[in-house]
Amino acid sequence: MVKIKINGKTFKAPEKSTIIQVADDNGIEIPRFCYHKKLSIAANCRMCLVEVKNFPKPLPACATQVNEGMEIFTKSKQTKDCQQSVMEFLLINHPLDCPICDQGGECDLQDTAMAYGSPKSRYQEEKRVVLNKNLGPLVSTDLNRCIQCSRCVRFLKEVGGMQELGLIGRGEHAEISAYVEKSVDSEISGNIIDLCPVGALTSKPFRYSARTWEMVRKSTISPHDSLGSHLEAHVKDGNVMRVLPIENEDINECWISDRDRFSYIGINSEDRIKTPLLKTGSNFKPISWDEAFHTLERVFHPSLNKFKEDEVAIFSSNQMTLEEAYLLDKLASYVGTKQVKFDVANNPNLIANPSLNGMIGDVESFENIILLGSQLRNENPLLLQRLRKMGNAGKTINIINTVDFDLQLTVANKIIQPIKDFQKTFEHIHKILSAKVTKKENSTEKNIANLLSDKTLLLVGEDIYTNPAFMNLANVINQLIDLTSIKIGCLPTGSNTVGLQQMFGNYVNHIDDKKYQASISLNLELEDIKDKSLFERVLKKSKFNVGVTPFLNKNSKQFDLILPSVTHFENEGTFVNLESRVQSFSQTISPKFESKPIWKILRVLGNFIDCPDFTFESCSEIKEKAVQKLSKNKLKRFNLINQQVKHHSKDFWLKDIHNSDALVRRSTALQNTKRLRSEK
Amino acid sequence: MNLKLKKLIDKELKKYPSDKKQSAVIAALAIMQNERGWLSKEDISEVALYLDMPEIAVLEVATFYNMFDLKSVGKYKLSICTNISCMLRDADHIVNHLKEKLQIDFNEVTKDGKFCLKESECMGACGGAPLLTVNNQKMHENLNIDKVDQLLKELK
Ligand code: SF4
Ligand code: FES
Ligand code: FES
Repeated sequence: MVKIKINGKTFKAPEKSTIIQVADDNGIEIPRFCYHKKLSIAANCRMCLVEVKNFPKPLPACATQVNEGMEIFTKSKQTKDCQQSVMEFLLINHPLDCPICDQGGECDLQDTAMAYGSPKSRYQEEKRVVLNKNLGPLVSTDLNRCIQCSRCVRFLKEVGGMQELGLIGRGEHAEISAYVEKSVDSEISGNIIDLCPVGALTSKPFRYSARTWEMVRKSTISPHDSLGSHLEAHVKDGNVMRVLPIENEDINECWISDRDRFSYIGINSEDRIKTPLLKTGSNFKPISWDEAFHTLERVFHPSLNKFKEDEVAIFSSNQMTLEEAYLLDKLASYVGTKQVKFDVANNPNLIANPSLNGMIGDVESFENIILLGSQLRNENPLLLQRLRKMGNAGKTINIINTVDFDLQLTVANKIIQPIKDFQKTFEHIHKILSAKVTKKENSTEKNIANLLSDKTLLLVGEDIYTNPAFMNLANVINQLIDLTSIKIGCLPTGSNTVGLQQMFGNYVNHIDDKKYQASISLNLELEDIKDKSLFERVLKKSKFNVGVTPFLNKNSKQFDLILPSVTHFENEGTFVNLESRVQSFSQTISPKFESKPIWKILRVLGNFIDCPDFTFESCSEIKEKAVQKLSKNKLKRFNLINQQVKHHSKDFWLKDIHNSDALVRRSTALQNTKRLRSEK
Repeated sequence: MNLKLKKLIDKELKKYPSDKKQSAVIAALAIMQNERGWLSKEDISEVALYLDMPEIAVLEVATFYNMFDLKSVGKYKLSICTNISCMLRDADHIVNHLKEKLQIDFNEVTKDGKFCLKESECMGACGGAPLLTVNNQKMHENLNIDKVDQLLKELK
């Protein structure tokens, strides 16, 4: 710790911190453009210049480390003069087109100019013109406004993992550009919109549609991956106009993925179903909710239609909330079925409680990571970003996978092999460590073996721990855990996969390939399902199929009754993220057309078929009951669930980040991006 | 990229640690330009591939330094400094004279392909302002109109 003075007041600051960090920690304002706490220091905008005693020239606060006894003045004449001059320079080439700029009202340049600039400009000459670039369907450019802070460049290079933008040219001619007509394709590229301190990079889908002060901010939780990022939907006239991150250091830091940011566009898709639809012949006719529930009553009421055990099949997405799942569970046992399937990948539960088994932020405290078979870039881009950070900081990231994904990070050791060989690899590592191998060897296995200690985290992807081959592999890994005390964690992918697992425990999570009397599919489309043919077969054979979904889709024809449910932004509920954090969210907009949240549909259905104890008035009432059913426990080793694995498909299922659920699939902007080709 | 170029670049690469290949980017671009006259987008992509760098990062370097040309520059490339010292010593006057005489603007090449005019940043030789260089090599200092005319005559 060192002692410094800012404006005459004494502060204690950690050694090696910069002036701007100390000021930020203590609520002292220093204006800045290029500095960002999550990016490297560029010190190229000079807005943060401050006077420091005994230094003849002002110093950039973002790049100057504090020293014992340093005296800093943020409001002195010299500092103020600097701020005014820098501001004047920055505005020389700035078009000052705030009235037609989307950033207007939330612009750092505007605010800083008001607070620190001079009210008058002396510049009479011509302004520079920079042609706009087409960076793809998400980010729109107005490069005349760019002040060359280089935040966007540094973000894509450091956080995105691939420098897709650069500052080309020099001096007055410097401009932001991608390489010759390339677009920015990172799956987290939308963050440069937030980072750009001016209106040079703005959201293309949002362009010219609303002013910041016209919108109401509603918070929600991301439904697209298991991280549970905190989102803020900006709402105007009952529509989500855009989605921004809410900063949460423990989860998403200050970033969100592109699908979090742009999925809202799907809400108003043409595919939205307006009223319940009943199949008559080969067509659907719109019916009222009342008629719909009476139809359901005729099928599911025990006094009218007594099912034998397991005659109803239920398919659900892994975005189902705890509340919905709780009601569904009650209904399922009431109609006497255990054939409920929450895991869209149609993979069996092999181990108890797959979760990260620790906090997201703690991942970074390890020295070594071994990533065992995950499609992290498609599944969880922000967690990948943390690993990238670790790699940049000199920690070792090791990969064992079936497919060689380009994760855009520094990889220390990599083994690519078919899943059946994983076991051999781990056995070999075990042998090396238990000194059963005497001959000297120089192999990747050896390198990895040398890294194993309690500072090593083994992260197992969903593709692997749900694959039958994992049964034997888990035993070998358990032996390694005993030998080296490495820590383990799993990477479930759905926004509520963990919650559903914790609620249902060893629930038989599969559907038999047989004839059912009825089926119910909740918020699911064919594309979401790994074993598509099973799904189609079950629906074909079953007598009565109910589809609860916001959108019409390719497989809608298979349903006999379609009930319009809401999209995530119109829903309330609770998710449990991959670190077992329970997070509730509320509606950001009211349901479109006649659609209803699934929990309400299930609740009314329960009453129609006289399901006992079904008198919940609100979502929070259900939540109270639902969370009691959650069972958490920490994994030290993999506990295999004894179960006969009946169904599994051996093929690898490549997940496309922009095809991950119905809403994302209907976001036109996301669909127009270059699909992620992360497979090398 | 032919073997000769690769060999030349490899020689530069030896000067740096093997995981810091990008340190050799200026040298590699210079070698490339020497061989090909000027740097096309393909040349830049080749260098990027060879040094394992993002293409845009190589383009940043190539566009930053005046010595690199992204278009054909004719036989003689005149780079004239217009930075502060040279400006104060009336570089603009020289620039206007050259533009008029050669009938070209900055970054253009005369019809006969002989001259190209480039605006450059401070060359760290302000003592001799105003000044220009011919083909990045030969510097002519303390310019005035006569000297410039003389120079143009000499450059055949
Ligand atoms: S586009 Fe925005 S973020 Fe990028 S350098 Fe310009 S001002 Fe900075
Ligand atoms: S914030 Fe310090 S120089 Fe830009
Ligand atoms: S300003 Fe022209 S050489 Fe320095």
